[in-house]
Amino acid sequence: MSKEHPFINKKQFSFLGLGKQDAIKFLFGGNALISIIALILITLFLAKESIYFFPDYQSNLNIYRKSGKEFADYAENQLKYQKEIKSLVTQVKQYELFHQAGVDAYIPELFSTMKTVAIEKMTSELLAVKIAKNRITSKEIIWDIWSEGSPEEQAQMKAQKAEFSQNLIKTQEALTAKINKIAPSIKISTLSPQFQKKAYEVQRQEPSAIKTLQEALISYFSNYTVSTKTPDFITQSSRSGVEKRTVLLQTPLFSNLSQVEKELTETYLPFNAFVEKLRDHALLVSIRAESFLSAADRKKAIEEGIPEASPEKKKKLLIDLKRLITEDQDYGQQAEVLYATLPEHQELLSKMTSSSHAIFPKLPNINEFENKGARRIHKKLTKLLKDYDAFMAQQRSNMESWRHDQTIGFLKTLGGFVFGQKWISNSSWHNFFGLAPLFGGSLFITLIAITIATPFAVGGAIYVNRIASKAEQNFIKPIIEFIQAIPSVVLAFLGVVVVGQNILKLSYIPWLEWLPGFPASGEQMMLTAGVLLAFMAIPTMFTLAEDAINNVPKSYTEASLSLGATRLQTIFNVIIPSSLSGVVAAILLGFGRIIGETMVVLLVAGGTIDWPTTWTDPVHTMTGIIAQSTGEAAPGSIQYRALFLVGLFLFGISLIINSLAQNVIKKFGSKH
Amino acid sequence: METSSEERPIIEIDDFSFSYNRGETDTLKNISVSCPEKKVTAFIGPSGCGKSTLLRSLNRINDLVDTACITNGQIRIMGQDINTPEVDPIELRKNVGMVFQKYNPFPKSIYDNVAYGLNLQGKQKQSDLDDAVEKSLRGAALWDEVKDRLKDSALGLSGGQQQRLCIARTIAVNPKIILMDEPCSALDPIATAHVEQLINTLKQEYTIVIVTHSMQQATRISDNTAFFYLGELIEFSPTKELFSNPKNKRTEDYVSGRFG
Ligand SMILES: Nc1ncnc2c1ncn2[C@@H]1O[C@H](COP(=O)(O)OP(=O)(O)OP(=O)(O)O)[C@@H](O)[C@H]1O
Ligand SMILES: [Mg+2]
Repeated sequence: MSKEHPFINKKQFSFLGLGKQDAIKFLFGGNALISIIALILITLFLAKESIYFFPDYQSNLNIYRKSGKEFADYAENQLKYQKEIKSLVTQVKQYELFHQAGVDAYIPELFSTMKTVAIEKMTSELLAVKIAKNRITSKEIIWDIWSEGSPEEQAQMKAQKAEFSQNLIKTQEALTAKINKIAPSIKISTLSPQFQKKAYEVQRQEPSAIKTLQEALISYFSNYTVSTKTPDFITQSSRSGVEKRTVLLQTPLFSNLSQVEKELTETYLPFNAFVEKLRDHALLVSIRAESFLSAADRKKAIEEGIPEASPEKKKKLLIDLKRLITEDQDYGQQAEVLYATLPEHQELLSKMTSSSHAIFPKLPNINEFENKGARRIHKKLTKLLKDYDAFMAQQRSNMESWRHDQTIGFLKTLGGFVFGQKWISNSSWHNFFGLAPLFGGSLFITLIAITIATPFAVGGAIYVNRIASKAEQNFIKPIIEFIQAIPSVVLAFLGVVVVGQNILKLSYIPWLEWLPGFPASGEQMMLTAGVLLAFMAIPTMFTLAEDAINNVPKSYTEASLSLGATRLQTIFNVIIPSSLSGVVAAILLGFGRIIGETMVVLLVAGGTIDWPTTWTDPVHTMTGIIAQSTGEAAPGSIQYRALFLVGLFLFGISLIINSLAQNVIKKFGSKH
Repeated sequence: METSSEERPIIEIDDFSFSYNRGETDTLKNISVSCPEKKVTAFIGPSGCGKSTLLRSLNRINDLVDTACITNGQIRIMGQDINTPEVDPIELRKNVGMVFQKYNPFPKSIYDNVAYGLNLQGKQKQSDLDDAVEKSLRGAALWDEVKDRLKDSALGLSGGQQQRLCIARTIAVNPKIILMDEPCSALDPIATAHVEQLINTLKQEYTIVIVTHSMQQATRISDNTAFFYLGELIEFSPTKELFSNPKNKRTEDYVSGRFG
């Protein structure tokens, strides 16, 4: 009779022997399990691909050492240092020269690029003019003949002449109309990048210069059929520019600089030849070392191919097989050659340094320069000169203590990856995979973005949650959240066209020049990427921060106001402290969102692999390098594995940040 | 309306109507009540009759509700209409403090909670601040219980202590009037007795307006009592009179527990 009892379920649902509750449990449990398994598989896959990087990279670094490339690079560093000094002297001279020569120095160049832009935009009108002109010139001889001919011929000549010249006038009118229309649109931002910098420089010194040039364009093309002579003031300024420069170059400052430049070049010529010799030797050894390393694999591949190959092909394969390097070279013997160059190096080096020391004092003092750019470079130069002896001695002692047979261990390899300053693939010299500059790029872009986004997101959240009226809330919230729907590639596009341009323009404003890194060297830089990523991070951060602020009880506000606090005091003294954990979590999650973003940084960060020194530097990032070079890296190659390792690293960062955010919420959240 | 003091009452509510929805319906209808200085006035009435609304109008904390508006009459405190544009609600609230039904100390230390209102008014000398905190905590009969852990979080105190801390926080800014909205409803009988005792001492210095659901509490601590019903003032008299000899039938029903 137990079946009759009200607690007993009469219709037992069953699926594969499971009850209804169990089935539901397994369904949802299964979903969770799949996610967990997927996560584990991804991690394992990343780890598996990237773990092989280390042995590969270790052997890569060992070849670098064994072959003597390392040895050659120490000397190469000295050479580069020397060349850098010379190049800075040249730059200082150029900056100052153009500064002192004034706008005139740039005007002709700018006019001709603007003209090129205009011509591109008016191809059909110009063609019409040319055709009209050609028709006239081709008839001129006949008209000459006709003018002495019969009255009919004379009449015909007159009629034709009138018609043709009428035609020419018409085409000229069309051209005039067109140039009047497009001239205002030929602005700095439409010029090619290498001219933009000069154009901004001109505008800075002479604000109306671009306008004048546009007018010159109009007058030039309006008289196109009459004369294609360059406007007078342009030729004049060209002439006066050249004259000014010639005169300036005679002054003590510039003749001094030119002299220093010339003498510096002479100092390193013999040294340069010596370094070339070292490099050639090391490169040869390393190529042989690499082919020996890959010989075993290739041998296997060829031997497998032989049985199936046609007789002719078989012959070829057999020859290939014989050519394989099966015996490793004697590195000690090769290194002896390098060790033996040490005395020669010492001699060349001391010649180079002593003659340099004779030259350095001739360099003009920084106070002799008027231009800011010149002064900036002069400072850099002074620093190089200060460190000159120490640097040269350091590299020399590196060479002396260099041993080809001191192998590189695992820890050094790891350090070489994490702290390595170079990421070079497909190099004709040597490939390096150093994470530091990419990590630096990612980190600093993210910090810039967070610094910009935090006040907007948190301020916006406070405003919407605590100050705005219902109507405002219903208006603002969806709009901010809508930003999230913009595809990042669209945003990146916007970034290139609008944000980068405007930041670049901004950086040329004279009264902003005191800011570090201003003026910027191009529109692609950390700051541009940071601004865009801030924009992308705002919705996430805003939503989370708003949640956190919403969790602060209304009674705190009421209590605070009842004690005579203003709204602002309430926000700063009660609401922000009480929601701080949530706001911090919002910022952290924003950080995680930004550091993983790819499209924007790939398109606007600049792509220069170097540890950044200021916020207007172009950089490359961890995500950017993966997106950019996964396609070109051969599976299984060292580059391919390096990319996976970067991916694993990124994954680790995201994981850490997410768990950090969760900890912050757990630890300090839900106190009320 | 008869009061026990001959002086001008400190709070004069005069034909006051109030709406939460831009005047569509009035939550309070033509209320007139005066509260004499340094006396306790109790608001009683069934749930939803508008007691809290009236109380919250006295320090303009209802300003937080966008759609709220006054549809008739005025409220004068110390002779000044508090809803004219010249009145700064911040200054008003410094003089009219409020203690809430659910104790709500800030998630700060005990010391910082009490010092909060003073710190808002600019930089204070540390010794002055210490004195004021001690005085307020003594005033709220809490000093002996917390003096050794002033730097601890206020959220670690018991409910009754937290409510007394809220009272200390309120008296620290030295208001003239203290509004209390069911201050004991979340407390046990012993904590309630503590707070009632406190109210009896506080009334020597402050004018107190208290909302309560407990008739006994009203009789124990108040001098005058106002009975509200559905947004209207039904009866306002000295407490003894209202409870022993209600003039209105509905008052009588309510105080004798026949409805509510
Ligand atoms: N912020 C508000 N917005 C709109 N209506 C409100 C608001 N606060 C209260 N009301 C309404 O006003 C009326 C009076 O509410 P009030 O809180 O003043 O009643 P009460 O007498 O304090 O009740 P209780 O004894 O339950 O606390 C109620 O109908 C309530 O729904
Ligand atoms: Mg209430």
